[in-house]
Amino acid sequence: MRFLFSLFFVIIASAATAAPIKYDVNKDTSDVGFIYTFGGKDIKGAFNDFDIDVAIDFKSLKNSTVSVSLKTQTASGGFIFGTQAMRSKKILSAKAFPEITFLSKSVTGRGDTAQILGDITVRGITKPLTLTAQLFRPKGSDINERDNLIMKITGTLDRFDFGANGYAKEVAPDLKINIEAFIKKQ
Amino acid sequence: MSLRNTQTRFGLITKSLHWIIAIGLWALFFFGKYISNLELGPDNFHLIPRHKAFGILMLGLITIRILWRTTNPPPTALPAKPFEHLIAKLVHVALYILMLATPLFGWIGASATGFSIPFFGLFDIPLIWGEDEAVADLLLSLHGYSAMAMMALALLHIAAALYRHFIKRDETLRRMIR
Repeated sequence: MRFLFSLFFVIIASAATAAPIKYDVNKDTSDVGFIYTFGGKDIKGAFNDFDIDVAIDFKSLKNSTVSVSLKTQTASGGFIFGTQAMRSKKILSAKAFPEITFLSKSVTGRGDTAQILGDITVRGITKPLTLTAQLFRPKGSDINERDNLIMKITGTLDRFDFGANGYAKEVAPDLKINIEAFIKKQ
Repeated sequence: MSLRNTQTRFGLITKSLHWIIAIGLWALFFFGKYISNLELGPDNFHLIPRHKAFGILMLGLITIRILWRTTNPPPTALPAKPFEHLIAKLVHVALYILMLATPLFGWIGASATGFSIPFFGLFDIPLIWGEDEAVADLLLSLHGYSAMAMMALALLHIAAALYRHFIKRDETLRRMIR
């Protein structure tokens, strides 16, 4: 278990910090997941290879940045045929478009959450997307812990916006993004 | 009972292949119709690879049957009017063509979807066409139409057998049963 480490609290508690702190992501423990609805049931999928760059300015959140790169050929649809469908030309077209990228353009904080506005590129199509982020610190860590944190990023995207419109009868258009990144100060 | 056909009787192998394939094709036809009307989801998606595996199994049996027929001709046809012989021959040829074409259309179409074709969890059947949505749509439609045509001809075949059994009272049906 871990404790919610509110951004608001972080901002107050770390007023002395001057520049964004860069973090590395532990790929072994992090999970870049998503939920999609197939035949009326929610299925969990994931990307098994990814890069996430995070820089957090605890003093001025607007200076923070997040960039994410997901390797589409490692996409998993939760079961063998779901995975094959995910990577196929009808959905991610993984051979032609090996990456999904997200680059933040602005970060704003409110309460214990931050809104990350950025551009996401799927199948070569770029659209704006707003993600919600929360920071947590590991259970038992010091209240001022900033070296090792857990970042939860959530959001929703409509796959049809990116031409990923295969299996429209069986699979709903919305995908719920659910990233849990274990980040460590560089 | 002889394993091979004679001039007057069907052998055990021909009869076994005939009835196994007949029952298998009817079962696969209704299985396919059932799947095509389903609202697919995680609970029933496994039925599609099951249908494909049985289809490949049928294709194997049909190939064996054709090879067996070429090396072991059927008994001489019982007396009938020339046009009845002609119709019977046309129906048989069309049935053999459709028994091959239907699973082949399905195999090509299934390959073109990009999904693997597991054979009852033992191994994957090779995909014989690259991922191509247009080819998949076309071939899977042809698969459906071909199956319907095959079963329509099978009904005609059954009707002819019953006609010869109950109206003409000859040995045609009995030769395939006894």
